[in-house]
Amino acid sequence: MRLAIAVSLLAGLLPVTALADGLGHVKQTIFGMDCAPCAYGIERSLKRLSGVEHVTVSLNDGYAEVRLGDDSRATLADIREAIRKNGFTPKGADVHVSGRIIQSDDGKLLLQTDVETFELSAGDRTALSQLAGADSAVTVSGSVASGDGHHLSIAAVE
Amino acid sequence: MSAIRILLGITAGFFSIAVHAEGHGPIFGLATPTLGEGQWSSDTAVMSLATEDDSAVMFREMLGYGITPDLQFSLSFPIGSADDLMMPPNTRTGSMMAGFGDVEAGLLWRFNRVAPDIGKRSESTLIISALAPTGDDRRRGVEVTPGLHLGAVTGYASRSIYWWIGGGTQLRKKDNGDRLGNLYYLTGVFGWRPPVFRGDYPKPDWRIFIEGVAEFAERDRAHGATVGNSGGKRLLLGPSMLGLFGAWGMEGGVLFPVAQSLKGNQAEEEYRAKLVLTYWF
Repeated sequence: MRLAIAVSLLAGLLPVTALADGLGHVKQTIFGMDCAPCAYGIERSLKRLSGVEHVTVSLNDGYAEVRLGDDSRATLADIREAIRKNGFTPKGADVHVSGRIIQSDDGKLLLQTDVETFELSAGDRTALSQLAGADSAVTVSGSVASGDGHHLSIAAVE
Repeated sequence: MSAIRILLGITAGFFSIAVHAEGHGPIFGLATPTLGEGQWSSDTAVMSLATEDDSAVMFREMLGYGITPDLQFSLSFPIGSADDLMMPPNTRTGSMMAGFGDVEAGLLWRFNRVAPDIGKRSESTLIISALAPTGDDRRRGVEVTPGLHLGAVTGYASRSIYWWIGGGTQLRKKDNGDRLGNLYYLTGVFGWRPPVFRGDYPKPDWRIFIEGVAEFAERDRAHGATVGNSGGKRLLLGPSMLGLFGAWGMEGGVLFPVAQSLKGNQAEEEYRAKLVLTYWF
């Protein structure tokens, strides 16, 4: 319910121009990464992606944290592919992404950026229905499961 | 002299093979490779060995390239010439491993890789490489011919422990009745990263290994006849330590013979030592 209220307040109030479209922050869980050269290779690959401003890799907690600039064209798929190319396994990710809310032909709610589209879901159905009415751009935080899908489970809407 | 031949033959071969273990691995035993796609690595190594009669030092370089995350190319070659060494190495009487002058080009295929959790990975790799002699025409009186090396290794890596077991063979082409003896080997490695060295990246990353190598060398053949004082078995065991600092790695270790059964009057080995400096481009 709190999420629904946040959606109704913020989705209608925030002007489109106030939001940079695309990923702002990603915390990507990685399995199989055990050594410093592993972390070094991933860090270097991620820094090469478009608009990446900062990368932090944790061996002990198994993740790469990526902060992206407003002009970034990098996608979550790009981040996961960079990790795979280093020989490791990307699992779930926590993302902070801005985009436009659209509805697919089959009624699914989507968050679309210039370069990527996420299918949205939330435990609170009211939140989703109110997001569906948002004409402006929104920023959402949530988790994306492992694999190649872009199913974004919303935790918060800004 | 024959003892140094024995040792250099084996150690030169293992020098080539062991540097396949770059990244997170041991220094003498086989391990699975870790280069990412499009990534280059350089391993520069110096090895010393001694018998009860003699000692020698050699230098070697290996370049690695990740064709895909699971397919790696490597090229290993000697640095300098045998004449530059304080003790020009020959090859081992009874060993088939690459001699000092051999260039080795190979592929490492990680055909199985499972990452069950954060920081944990099980994987298996096949190794195939070709040896081209570029040094002496003859070693211990036997013509040096091109060779083939086949190996396999499986293991487990984590933030606390590591282990690998592997083995392989190196075969030489027979030419005019001459052939350096085939060599078969097994390697086993157990690694441990003490808690004090488990600081998170980019802090330096250290680990300790106990490595074991068992070698079984056939006798050489010259002019179609078996060569005496060639061939034998040897089991070696020793510690090594690996330190990783971002794009740099440094590793050193020593092996001591636990058991030796040589054919003939070859001098027994006393130790092998190796130091490798690695850089990931």
